[in-house]
Amino acid sequence: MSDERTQLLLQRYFDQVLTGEERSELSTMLLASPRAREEFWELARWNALIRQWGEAEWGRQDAESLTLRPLPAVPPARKVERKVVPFPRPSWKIGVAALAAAAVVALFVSVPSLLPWNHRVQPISVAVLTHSADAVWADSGTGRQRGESLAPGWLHLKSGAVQIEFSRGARVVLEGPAEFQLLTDNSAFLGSGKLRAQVPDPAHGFTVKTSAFAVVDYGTEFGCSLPISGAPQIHVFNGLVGLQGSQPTERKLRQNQAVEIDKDQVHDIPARRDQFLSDEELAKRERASVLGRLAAWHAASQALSEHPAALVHLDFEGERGWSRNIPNRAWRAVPGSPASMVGCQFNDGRWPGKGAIEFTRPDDRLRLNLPGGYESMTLLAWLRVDTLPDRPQSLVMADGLGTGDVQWYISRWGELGFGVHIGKNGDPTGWRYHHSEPLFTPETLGSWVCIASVYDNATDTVTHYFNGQAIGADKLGVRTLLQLETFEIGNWALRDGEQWRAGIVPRSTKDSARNLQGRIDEVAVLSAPLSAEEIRQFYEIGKIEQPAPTALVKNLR
Amino acid sequence: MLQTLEKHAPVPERLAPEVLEALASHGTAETWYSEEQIQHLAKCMEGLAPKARAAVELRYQQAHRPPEIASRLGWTVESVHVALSRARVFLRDCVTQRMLAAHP
Repeated sequence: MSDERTQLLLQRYFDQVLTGEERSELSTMLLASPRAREEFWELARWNALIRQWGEAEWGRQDAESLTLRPLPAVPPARKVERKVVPFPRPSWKIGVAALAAAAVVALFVSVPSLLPWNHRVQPISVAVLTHSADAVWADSGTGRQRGESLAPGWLHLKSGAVQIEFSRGARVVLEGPAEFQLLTDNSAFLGSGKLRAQVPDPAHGFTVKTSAFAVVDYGTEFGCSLPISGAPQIHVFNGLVGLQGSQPTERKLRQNQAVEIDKDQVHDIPARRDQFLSDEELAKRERASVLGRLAAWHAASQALSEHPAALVHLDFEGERGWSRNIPNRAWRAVPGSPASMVGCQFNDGRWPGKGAIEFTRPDDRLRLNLPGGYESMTLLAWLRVDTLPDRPQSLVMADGLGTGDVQWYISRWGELGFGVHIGKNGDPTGWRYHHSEPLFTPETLGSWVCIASVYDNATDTVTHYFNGQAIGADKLGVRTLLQLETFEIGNWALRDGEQWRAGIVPRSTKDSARNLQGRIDEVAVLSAPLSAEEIRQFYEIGKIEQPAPTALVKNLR
Repeated sequence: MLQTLEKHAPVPERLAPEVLEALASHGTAETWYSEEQIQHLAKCMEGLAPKARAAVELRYQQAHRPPEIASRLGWTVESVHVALSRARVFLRDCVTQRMLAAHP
């Protein structure tokens, strides 16, 4: 079979003018010849590029025609002439082949409205959970995290205390047990429980409603308690508060005034600051709680560093000083070869005081060196993704496009991806990879999560994990040793001349970026496939809220 | 989108599952296109002959298949296919040259 004939048939395939005989002939070629398959991909990519231009151009022209055309009195129904061009639809079992067969249409998904998360109605955040001390929630199986965005809705706090910052600026310390409903960015409903609110000027009018009365704040600090049994109380510590109840007129309460409402009767009582948890007291409780969590995690973290297969383990702990190097604590680490920080900065991790690296700018990255090839590999990380740009985000990426190179990343659709390059050096089509279901969605942004991908050479299978649970696995067809050599965390470096062959232009333009936007506070690479149980233990020990059982730490050792 | 494709894709035009599987073995991880490439492509479009450009626009902007393009332009289906094939080769070479010139 000649290359010319292959090209001819491929061109006819993409124009959908193949005859039955030609289809059979092309199928035979594609099955028999790796070269033919490469040519398929090559043509598919160019076809996709032209289609992407066509989509953009069509949209632009359509917009222009709408702008220039005078509007008719009654707009006629516009007949949409566009139609979906049929391209091969692979079965779910060969999900990866979907890209191959439908490579041309794959770029339809570059249209933002087709992105999976854009189909959902995104909840609008009205507040942020800023601090938490021993909080136990009744309504969230995975717990709520410091830094988590909160949409309107109920918070069922069984015990502990939290601080909530409303978007307009009001700050509330809520003590459990409490039933609290976020209504807007400047109002809430207290079903039961106790809160203390600080209301700066921009949040003037912050309102706490209950079933019996409402408290409207005019730039002050107040406490409100609504016990399950007993009379509600309102205490004003600073400024002015309006009490709206069964009386037709609003009663004003000033500094150091307090009232108790008993069966529609309002009685004056002494104001008591000490009955309501302050920001400072909450911070103290949080610190005490965190110390216990950190101690348990430190013990487990050391066990991971000492794992016989540990190649890289960065925990971002210890004295920082002015150094821009991060020690690799793995016992098989290359001596004298720490991770080098480029651009990125230290910040808080899962807990206050736990170190993490924050990646924000396109050039932010950690650079490392890990010589050698490995039959199997485990990649683990605790991270917080802050945004979902319409592009991939790097986690652990070998430089360039070398045979055996490993890529670990978050796809533009929020899936966890693990790829191994099995082609010739520099061949942009040489990847075999597996993506999980979408894990990172607007709902998980800003939350700390534990992810892992395990490639087991014995079964030629990669398995992805999310918060300790296996979430998908697939065979990769890898017949080479896995390598990282020089690699990056949070970014990807290509060798000179490889950028645009991989569909990427150098980092000077925004759409070439593939940097992570978020934080990592622990990352490890091991040369052995950790078991599902070991991954679960790694998660259990590191998760934010509930303390890890001592037995788990011992097991990891 | 895939459901739509499945609904509309004529069965005889699909490749067999084993072919798709073989293609998948050469799949690329995350290929995407830069704004720069699109801009070069837009420039290269200007280098196409008017009739070839019309065929490309009908195919890639309005998603018509070659038989419909043929009837609109008064060509044969084969002529449409040949024009599209040549246009793709021209555009590929043009964008490649422009990218190489921009990133020597």
